[in-house]
Amino acid sequence: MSGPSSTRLITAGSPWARQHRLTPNTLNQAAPSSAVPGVLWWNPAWFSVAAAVALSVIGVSAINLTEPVGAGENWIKQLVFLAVGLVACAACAMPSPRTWRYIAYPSMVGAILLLVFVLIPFIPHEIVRPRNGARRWINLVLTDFQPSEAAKIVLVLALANYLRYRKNYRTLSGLLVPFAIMLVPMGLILVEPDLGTAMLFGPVLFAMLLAAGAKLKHLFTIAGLGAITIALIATVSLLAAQRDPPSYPILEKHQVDRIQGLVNQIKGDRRHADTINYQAFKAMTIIGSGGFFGLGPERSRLILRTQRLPEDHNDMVFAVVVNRWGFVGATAMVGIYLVYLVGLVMTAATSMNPFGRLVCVGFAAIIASQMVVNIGMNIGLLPITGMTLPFVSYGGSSLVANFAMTGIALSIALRPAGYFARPSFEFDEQHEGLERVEYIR
Amino acid sequence: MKRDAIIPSMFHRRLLLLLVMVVLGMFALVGQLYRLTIVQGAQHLTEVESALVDRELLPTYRGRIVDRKGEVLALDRPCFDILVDYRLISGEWAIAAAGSEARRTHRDEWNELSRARRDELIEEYRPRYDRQVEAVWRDIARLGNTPLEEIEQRRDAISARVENMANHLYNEWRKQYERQFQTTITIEEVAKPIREQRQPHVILTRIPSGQEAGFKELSANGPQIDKNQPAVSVRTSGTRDYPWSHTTVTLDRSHLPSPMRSDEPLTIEIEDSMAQLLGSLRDQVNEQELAARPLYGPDREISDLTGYLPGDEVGSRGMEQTLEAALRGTRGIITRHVDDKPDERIEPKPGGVVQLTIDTRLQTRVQGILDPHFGLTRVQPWHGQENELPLGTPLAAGAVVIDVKTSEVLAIVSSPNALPASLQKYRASLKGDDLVQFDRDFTPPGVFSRATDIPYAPGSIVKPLFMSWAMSHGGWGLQQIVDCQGHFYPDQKEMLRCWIYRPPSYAVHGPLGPVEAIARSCNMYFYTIGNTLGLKKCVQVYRDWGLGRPIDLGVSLYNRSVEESELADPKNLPGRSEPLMLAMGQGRAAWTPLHAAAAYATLARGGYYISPTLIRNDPRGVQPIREDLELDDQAVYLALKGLHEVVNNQQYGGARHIDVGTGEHKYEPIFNAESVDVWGKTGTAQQVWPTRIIRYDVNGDPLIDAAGRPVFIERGRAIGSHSWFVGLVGPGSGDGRGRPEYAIAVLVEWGGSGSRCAGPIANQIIYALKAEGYLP
Repeated sequence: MSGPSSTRLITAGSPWARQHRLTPNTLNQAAPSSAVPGVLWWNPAWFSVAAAVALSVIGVSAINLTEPVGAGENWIKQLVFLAVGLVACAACAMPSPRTWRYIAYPSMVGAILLLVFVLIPFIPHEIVRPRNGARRWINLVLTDFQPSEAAKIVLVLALANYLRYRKNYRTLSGLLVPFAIMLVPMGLILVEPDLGTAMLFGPVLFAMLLAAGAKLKHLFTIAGLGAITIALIATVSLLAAQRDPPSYPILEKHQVDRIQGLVNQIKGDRRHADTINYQAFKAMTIIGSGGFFGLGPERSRLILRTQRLPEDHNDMVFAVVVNRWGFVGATAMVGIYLVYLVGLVMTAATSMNPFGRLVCVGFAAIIASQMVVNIGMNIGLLPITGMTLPFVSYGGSSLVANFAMTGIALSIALRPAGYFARPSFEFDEQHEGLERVEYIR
Repeated sequence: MKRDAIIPSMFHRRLLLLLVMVVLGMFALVGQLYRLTIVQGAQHLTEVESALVDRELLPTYRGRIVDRKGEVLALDRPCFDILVDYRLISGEWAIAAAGSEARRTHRDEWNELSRARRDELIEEYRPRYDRQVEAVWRDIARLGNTPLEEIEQRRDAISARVENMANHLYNEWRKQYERQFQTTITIEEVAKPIREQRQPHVILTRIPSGQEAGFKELSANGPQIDKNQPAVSVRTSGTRDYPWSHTTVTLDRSHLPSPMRSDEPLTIEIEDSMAQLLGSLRDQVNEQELAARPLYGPDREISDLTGYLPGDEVGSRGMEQTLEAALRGTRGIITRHVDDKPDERIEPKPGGVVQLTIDTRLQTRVQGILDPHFGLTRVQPWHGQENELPLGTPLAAGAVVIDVKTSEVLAIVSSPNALPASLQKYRASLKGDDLVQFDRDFTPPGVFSRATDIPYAPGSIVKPLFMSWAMSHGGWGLQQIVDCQGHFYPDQKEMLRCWIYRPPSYAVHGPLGPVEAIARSCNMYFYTIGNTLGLKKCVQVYRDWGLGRPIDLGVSLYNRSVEESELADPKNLPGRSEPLMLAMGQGRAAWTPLHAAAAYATLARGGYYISPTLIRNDPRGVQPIREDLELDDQAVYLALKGLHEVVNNQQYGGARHIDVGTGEHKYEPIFNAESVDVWGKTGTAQQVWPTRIIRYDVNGDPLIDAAGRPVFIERGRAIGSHSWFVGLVGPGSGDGRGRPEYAIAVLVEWGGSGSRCAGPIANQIIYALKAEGYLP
């Protein structure tokens, strides 16, 4: 590199390095002393923070619409959760990325223990209260805590920590360990059961491996095989359910019903509009009625009251947003998500910390996947799976966890250059053996 | 340019790839969002807005039916209906209430309970609610003064009907889906509660004002389906009342044939004089009617406020059925908005007032005259023994009175007007072919009107009509004379004889002109006319005088044309004597008393045909048919003169007088009213008896055997005769110079001689017209 750039690429064995007698080893050793540890206040993560706050305000407003005037309490609780979330964001922004890296594995162990804890059958109901047959929540008196929300974060931290300086994941066998790291919490969450949260782990791993430089042919082959497997399972389940008598060899009846419902829904078949597809059709109707500019607060509140959309303050809050603000408002909200994601991606792009880079990608993958799946199920493209819309849906655990992720990303953005590091995620197949190191002044 | 030169880092390229994937996903979401909000937005908005309003239907009232003088014949009186929500009927409420209690009681563990355990708990709590439901049914029975068994029957009937309806709909939906998706669909997949399974249903109707208070209390304190939705509700309604369904009439007997005459008037109770005409209402609209005119459209939105809901009353017979659309009225509706918009209210429109041309008091009088208690419709000694019926046997009869000027029907009576209860029971026990056979044999009175439904051979009453037509269009001379030698074919004395040519005297009329031919009712004269006209023209004569013209009175009517009836059947190829028979009213043509009265009214109008009407300003838009038959004035004059002679010529008038059967050959005039002119013609129309006839006792009640079957007299293929009198009457001095104002037709089934049986009845009808102010 030349010129007045703030970034100088030092390649081990390059003339510049040789001139300055720098070997890879000396470069590493020099890192702590030669780094510029200052805080970069103006960084792209603030876009994400601002977007998160904007989305949360939209969420509070939407939740307010789902409740009677003057009688609602969820939107006030959500405001409190927002405040707690902002505090959590600030708290998570304070430690250096290195601290987060250090606690990645222990946190993972802790999260797994909590996930196991909620599944222990003899735990008193005062501590773990099952809802609708699911054991997901730990009673913290003032609110409930959902370990799977924490597990999302620590999975990203643990994966980032594992992947940061490796290159074995460029082989098929090297992908096994990252998969194993993902499968442990994912399996426990599936047992709860919480299919929605568990479904996020796949895209997160995919995105992090992709960013970390895993071979595309490996990733897309695995993703393709996964898709084919899911399609096969769905097809076999549907066919088995149509036999006389029906059988459910792989999936439970309600899951097959959901798949059948989705197929019918996409075909425009309203047969199950009052049964298994009730929620989806109601949501689509409420969304459609929002029109271009939305119906405004009063009319929207009336319609929501009369339509009785289940979980309108939670999983189906997007329907409320569209009904209130219309196509324009909903598109703007999707735009805000894009701003949030771009903030994280830019943070990853500008950070010199491989751990931080992957953490940002992982968090972005969580938010993007949640958003796509949640909106997809609201607008009838995906089955209803019980997934919240990040920052917007009602729920303390989810909101605080999302702000915590944003805080960690802010922590990474505030400290973009910690030290000289070994080169990471750069695998130039044309110049195999060459490694590049980036340095930010 | 090398890839690395654009974005030098693989990591950054991968980031960009991920970002592009997310943006593409967002585009897909926004695309679907566009489809829902913009492309389908209006449709979705309509759907959600329909839930923002709550609509309550307001009952309407059925219109009144009045007679020509404004007398009310049918009206709605305010009353109350008691309704029960279907969820109480089906037991769904008890299960839901037990479920709520179970959930409340086991709140802490409910979420963890298996489905089977939850069901067990619900079953535990259910008996209490089942007992509540049973108490409701008992209360309804008690408050409505109705046996509990009847209430339970009605409840079960509602349940069966709604379930049938639901199954029918499910099947329709299933078929629709199968067509749409080309796959097999089960009923369970499409089954969901239909509107009727979420609605209250009428369990009791016509609860009089004052009696509803107990039901209102039950509604307030009894089971509740929802916060503001009681399981039992009270609805304002109306009950159909027919003020003339039961009445009495007092008839003067001083002008009857002397054996029956009395200075004491006779009061007769008349039941359901107008029943056949007015018809009745059915409590439950049937599925076809519901489908033809539903209140809710296919989208289950209100589409026609005049449409039907299950449980609606509907006209089932007579005018109530014919004029259903005009009488029914339009429901009102209150639209309550969930938001702050003011309520919208469309007031109900009561059904229209329909005026009939009938004069109810005249109708009642004529009904009394035809009542066997009055005596003229029982076999009397002076009737002769033509039909070999025991004296006193009641005879079925029909009578029609028409206003000549307008052709409006003033009275249209059939007697008896109800089938005796024992025969009703027997008829109700018959099914399929047995029922068809019974109705064909006996055309049960009360089921078929003798005035409008059953065709009879006209007999001699067609003679003046034939003559005037033949003079006008058939080349028959105005002064044509026929020499009656007793039989038409010189060499066949047993065939086509004149009625007078009988043993032992074998009398003949000799040479007769047209007036005398009618007055003497000479068959030879009319055989000759028939022979001259030929078959085609004979058929035309009947058609011109109204047989086969579409008469739409609004009540059932025998209305086949000559061609459509017997003559059109290839098996019945007419022989050479058919025109002759048609010309003297016997051939293969038959009509009703209404046709006969209309034809005579036409003659009185100089040949201007107006089809009879029963409804003024018919709301259906039906207009009477009007047609000039273009009769020669002289021909009409001669026919009327002949008819006057029939009634008034002391020497040979066929309906001038009768031997009243005292054994003293005492002759009495048939028509004895003063200040009127009467024109008329008798008919004794031969017809083959049914192979069996029902036997009656001396009181006029049918004889019933131990098994509940009527006792029949086997008659073989014997010939009997019906008795006709058709005439015209108007104010006058008896010299025939008056103007005919009313046409009267009387038919007595198996009454024998027209002059002896039907004639005295027509005379009493003239007195009835006088009593009601139509004649001086």
